[in-house]
Amino acid sequence: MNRQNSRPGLLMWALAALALAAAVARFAAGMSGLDNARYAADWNVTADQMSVQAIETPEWGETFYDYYLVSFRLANHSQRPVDLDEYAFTAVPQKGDDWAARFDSEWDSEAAYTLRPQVPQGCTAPVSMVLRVDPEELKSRTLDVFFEDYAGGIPLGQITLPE
Amino acid sequence: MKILCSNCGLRYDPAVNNGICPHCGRYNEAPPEAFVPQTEEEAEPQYDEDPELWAPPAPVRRRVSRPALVLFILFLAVFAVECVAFPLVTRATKAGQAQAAYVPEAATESAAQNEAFAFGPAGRQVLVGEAQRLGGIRGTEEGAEVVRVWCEVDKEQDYRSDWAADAFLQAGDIYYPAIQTYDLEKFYPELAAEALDPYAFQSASMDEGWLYFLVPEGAAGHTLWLQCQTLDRSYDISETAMTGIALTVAEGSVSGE
Repeated sequence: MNRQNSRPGLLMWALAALALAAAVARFAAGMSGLDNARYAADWNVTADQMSVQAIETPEWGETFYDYYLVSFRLANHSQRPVDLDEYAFTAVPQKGDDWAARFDSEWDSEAAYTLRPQVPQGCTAPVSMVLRVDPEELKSRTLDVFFEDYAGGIPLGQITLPE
Repeated sequence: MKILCSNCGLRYDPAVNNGICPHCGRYNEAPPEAFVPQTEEEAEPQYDEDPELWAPPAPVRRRVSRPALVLFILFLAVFAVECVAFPLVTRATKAGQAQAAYVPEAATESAAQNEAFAFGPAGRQVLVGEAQRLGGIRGTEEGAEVVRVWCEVDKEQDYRSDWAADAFLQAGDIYYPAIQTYDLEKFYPELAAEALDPYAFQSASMDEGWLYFLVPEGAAGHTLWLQCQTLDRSYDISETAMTGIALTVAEGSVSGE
């Protein structure tokens, strides 16, 4: 009997193949993360005077959500200007669904030229962003605000949503 | 005396069929005494129930493939090393480069509208002229308007690659970037023809034209900021300087609107 082809032998080969696949996948993910980190290193921002206040549902909003205005001063020490749009920042609740809160804005899909506020390199500017919160998914009223650098984010501060 | 078949494991009497297994036909060697007729005393005890004819098959000794085991351990070790090393290297890379790429707070100075001033490391002569409010022209977002600023830049002797320029219009407290020429060409080729890109401030040729900005409608207090970025040997920005020109904005119009 060829013991190499026995069932335990096949199982070992299968485990070896799985381990190889895991090592290759981890390598790919690691290199991707390293590349993101190199790119993200160009981003260097800080924020202070962070505040939050509840606002009425905007005209373009949905009544299902709660809306808040998050304001802070952003200092940009990055190699590039910071675009002040909803994709540049994230607010992550300390408990509950990570996507329970998102920055949102009105979007005119028909306009060719849209407002693109920025903070130039070496400058500081006030930022006001509308935060859309799903009250059913939110398990904590304290949220961490990040600048999205696609490599883990840069923590900007913490906000507590008013009741 | 019964023996076990080495092939199928049947327990049988070899004397019945000359040692051949009645189930699978395998001939099994049996000791001579197996063929001797048994006395009554030697005969096997009679069981109340039927005797167990099938003996459990001899356990096969299972072996693990050694090359597979070695590879499994090797790949697992590589995976473990990757899990530890990559986060450490990534964190160190991010921290190290972030420190190297840090841009300090910009130095600011001011200049007057309609007066030439020196700009950039070589002191290139720049003049910021008329500023016009064009309103919400075709293709712009609702609640936004276009403001354009006339600029003239003098000829530069040599092109220098150790700096870069950019332009922003501050409306209220917020900065807005210039609309690039290639964006203007989509809807306003006639405007794009006489538009100026911020890149012109660092090029060597003499140039003049309008810088176009999209700002919120009715915003008050317009300041044009010309940014001079000093580049290091790896073309990273090492420092910035901002020259602000407070603008008096007049009403303007675009033909065809």
